[in-house]
Amino acid sequence: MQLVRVRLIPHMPRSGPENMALDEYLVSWHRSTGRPVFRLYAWNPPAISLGRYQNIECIDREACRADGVDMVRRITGGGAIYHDRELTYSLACTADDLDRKPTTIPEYYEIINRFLIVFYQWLGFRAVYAKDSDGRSGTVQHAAFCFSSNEKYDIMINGKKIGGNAQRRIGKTVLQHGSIPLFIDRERINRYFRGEMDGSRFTSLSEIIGREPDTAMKIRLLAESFSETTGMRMYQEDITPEEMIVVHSIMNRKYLDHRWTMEGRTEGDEIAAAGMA
Amino acid sequence: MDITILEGYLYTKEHEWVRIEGPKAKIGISDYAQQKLGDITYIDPTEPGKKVKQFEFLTGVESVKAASDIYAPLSGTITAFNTDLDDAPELVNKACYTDGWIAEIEVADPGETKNLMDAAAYKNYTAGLE
Repeated sequence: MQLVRVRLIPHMPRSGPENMALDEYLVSWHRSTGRPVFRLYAWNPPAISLGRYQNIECIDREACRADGVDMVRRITGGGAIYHDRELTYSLACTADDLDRKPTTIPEYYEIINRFLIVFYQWLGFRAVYAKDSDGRSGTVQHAAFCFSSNEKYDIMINGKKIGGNAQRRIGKTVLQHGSIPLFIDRERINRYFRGEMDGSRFTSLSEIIGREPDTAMKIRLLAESFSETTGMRMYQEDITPEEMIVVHSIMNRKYLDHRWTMEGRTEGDEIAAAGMA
Repeated sequence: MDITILEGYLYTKEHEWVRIEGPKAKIGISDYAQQKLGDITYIDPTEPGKKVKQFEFLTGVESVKAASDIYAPLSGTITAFNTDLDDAPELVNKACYTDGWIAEIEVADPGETKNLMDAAAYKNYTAGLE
């Protein structure tokens, strides 16, 4: 089997619009270079990200504005997430980069999310896919708040969902990003998300451990579990200043555009062209 | 994987189909595509009057927390969106070639059909993907 090398973009906190523009740029970079890329990141200031086709009315925007919480729309599917104290990852690749070749969307989640299962297992937790979990937690549920909805390959610990993952597919390229919640501020979530929410369905690492986890060690473990489960060899190559110029152009055109955030409409291409990379 | 491929339709490599109906054409996705996507939860309505180009972005679909692109099999002007999908996007899973059609366009250049596959060619193409 040919060894696949994956570019690792080291952990860095950025704003919501910058994070989403950077992930979109990585899709273009992957499509022009043919190389997979894996990024770890955080959010500063905190932000709510909406799914590509999600109605913004599920969010109390006034409450977010009052607390200085950004709002950004993703290019990936799924429900909204409040990003604050969490680790976030993104991956742009094709099926050929993965050691088992997925063909359906659920198979992509099954193969990619394995690194999250192993990550949680290395921390000493019995993490399983929702399909293998007990009772109602294993059934497919849809909700505006991502963490309180379930798909088959969401990850469960102690019968509760931890984190969330979403994908964008462009031709043969898949972008998957997702979050590992270190701490969930339930009071804020109840303030920002409209409608009933079953808080018993989701959890965070601090709720499982009983204290705030050590972030630096988790960042390293996450990268290692990705490399271990996918068989890809990592090489670190940070985003260059030249690349950031492209990222900021995507951010200014799209992710800071009110129309994109509010309605999911964009004047330009749905995804930045590969040539931009 | 067992997939249904119907005669009378033309297909793209990205698994859209088009059925010519006089000056217009209906567009949808193939059985192969709907099986790969999984349970479809949303189809983004296309805007009537909007011009689309062959093999370029037509609209988006969401399934299993994944947003995927649907491309236009032919160039033209969008004349209709299947509004039944607003409340029942699962029609694309249940009847992708009939009730689950997605958009209708006025065809700009019938000559572009030479770039599409007929049922036999698409059958060979999908067999090569497995």
